[in-house]
Amino acid sequence: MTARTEAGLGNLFGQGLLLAGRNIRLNSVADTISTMVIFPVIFVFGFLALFGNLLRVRGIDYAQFLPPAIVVQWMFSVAITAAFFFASDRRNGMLARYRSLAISRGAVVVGRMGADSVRALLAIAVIIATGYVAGFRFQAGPLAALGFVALSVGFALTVSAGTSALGLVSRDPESVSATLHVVYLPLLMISSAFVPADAFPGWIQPFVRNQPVTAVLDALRALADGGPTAGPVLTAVLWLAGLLAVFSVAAVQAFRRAT
Amino acid sequence: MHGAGVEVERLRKVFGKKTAVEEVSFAVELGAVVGLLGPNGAGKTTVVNCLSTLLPMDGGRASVAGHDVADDPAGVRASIALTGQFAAVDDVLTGRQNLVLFGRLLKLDRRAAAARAEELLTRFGLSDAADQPVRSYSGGMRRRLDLAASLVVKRPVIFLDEPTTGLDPAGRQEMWEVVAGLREEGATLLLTTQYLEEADRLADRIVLVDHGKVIAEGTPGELKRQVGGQVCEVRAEPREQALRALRERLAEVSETGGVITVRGADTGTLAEVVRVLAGAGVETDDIRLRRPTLDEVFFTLTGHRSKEEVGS
Repeated sequence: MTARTEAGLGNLFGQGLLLAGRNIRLNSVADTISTMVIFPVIFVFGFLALFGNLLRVRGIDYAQFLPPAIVVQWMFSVAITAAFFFASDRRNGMLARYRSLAISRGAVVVGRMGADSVRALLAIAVIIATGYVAGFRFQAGPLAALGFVALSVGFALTVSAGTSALGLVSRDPESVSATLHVVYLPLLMISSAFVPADAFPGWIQPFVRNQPVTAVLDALRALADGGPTAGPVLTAVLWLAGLLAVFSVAAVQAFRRAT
Repeated sequence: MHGAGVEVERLRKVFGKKTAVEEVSFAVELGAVVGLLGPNGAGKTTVVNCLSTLLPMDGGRASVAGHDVADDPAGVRASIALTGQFAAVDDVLTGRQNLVLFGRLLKLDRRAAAARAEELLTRFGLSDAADQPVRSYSGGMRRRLDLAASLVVKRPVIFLDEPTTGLDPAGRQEMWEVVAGLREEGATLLLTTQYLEEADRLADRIVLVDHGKVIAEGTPGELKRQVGGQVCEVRAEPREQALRALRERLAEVSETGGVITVRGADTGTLAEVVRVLAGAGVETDDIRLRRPTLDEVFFTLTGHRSKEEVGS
């Protein structure tokens, strides 16, 4: 009786899928057309209009340079939304209810990851399609393009693990979201997202070059533009693996204590 | 196999430096409704959270439906229906979608989940709103849906954590009827509440908790008798004069909201009060003898009032 609904991978994925469906239905109300479609379009064309000419002087094709940055920005947004929903699930008692049900202990996590992956994929599709209109092209073939998508989703899920740890210790989704924006905006701005690292003042360049967001961006650009990919991708994957190890320990701890 | 639905022995739970539950022991026999009664912060919810495996215990032991809470948490979860303090249902989904989701999570097939949802919606008076999003529900409807969600799969033991906190009188009344229905069906129910009237109405037995400790236990009648005797209530004018006269002759005289109460009273006291008031030349508007309320029991046992009305 007890093993029937809690134990085993069948329950983990079956119930995880049901909860992913629930999360997506909840998200689809919050994710209006404007945040999922119109905002990425505004960001791509807006930044292109702002910096396109400036960076052409430096020999940079900004339509090719920019879309990975917008993808990374949206992956952050997926992760922050995950934290927001965990905090509200905790505030309104859903988390306690799921934890008290005789369901797989990991189903809530699988459900969150499933929903985050779907949202990440949707955002990537919209941004890349917009990028194509602006002139962005995958220049290293379909396999590299697939790698680009996989790395982006991996990045979103890794960051989600960390943001979720924070979401799970809070009952205040708004303040969690505000706190995370304060962390993510500088990380994104002071990276190679919008301008190359050598455009920053000399004293801050070491940070720009060696922080994880830049590592992921460099890998994404290598996968999109062609050229040597192994080095940058390996650096990015190592970063993500390390962060994921730390974040998931924190998230599991927080999950076990969340009532 | 244990005879008891729930057995709790010297349960202890500490959060950092704060002792939420110092030592709580009680039992809920199969088919009984036990009310865990106490003010905000007494540790009631923490006890329920420990019993439903949401929090590890820091001391003592407990079992639910024969499953040890520490050693067999999965067995406990498969034996309980938990309705927490918050109406934990999804706002954007309809009542029916909420119930079907819980049914599917607990491995009912599509058809069985739909049938069970329909059955519960009808039973809890939610048929008309079944296909409306929950965000349009009243507080009382949300609570009933919440309770229904915990009953999607039948479980031997039901935990109800503050089922009517924050509800308006009509919502509270409806919830009481629903819980009374469960009781009639012979459900084993542990109910926490800060409302004395609620415990009095719904529970066979009351466990009074304060500051993480059990301070009294018994049937509502037994608890009332612990305070001793009855209460004599008097309305008289001029009140000050009446109060002064009664205090000269009787112990335990107090006054709240224009009503003078004499505790530890019996029929002899009644006659005494009438005599004293007549002697003092006071006009008596109303005089009666009644059993003490649970609030008075609480006050006698803890030295402070319970929360009769809580806004949040």
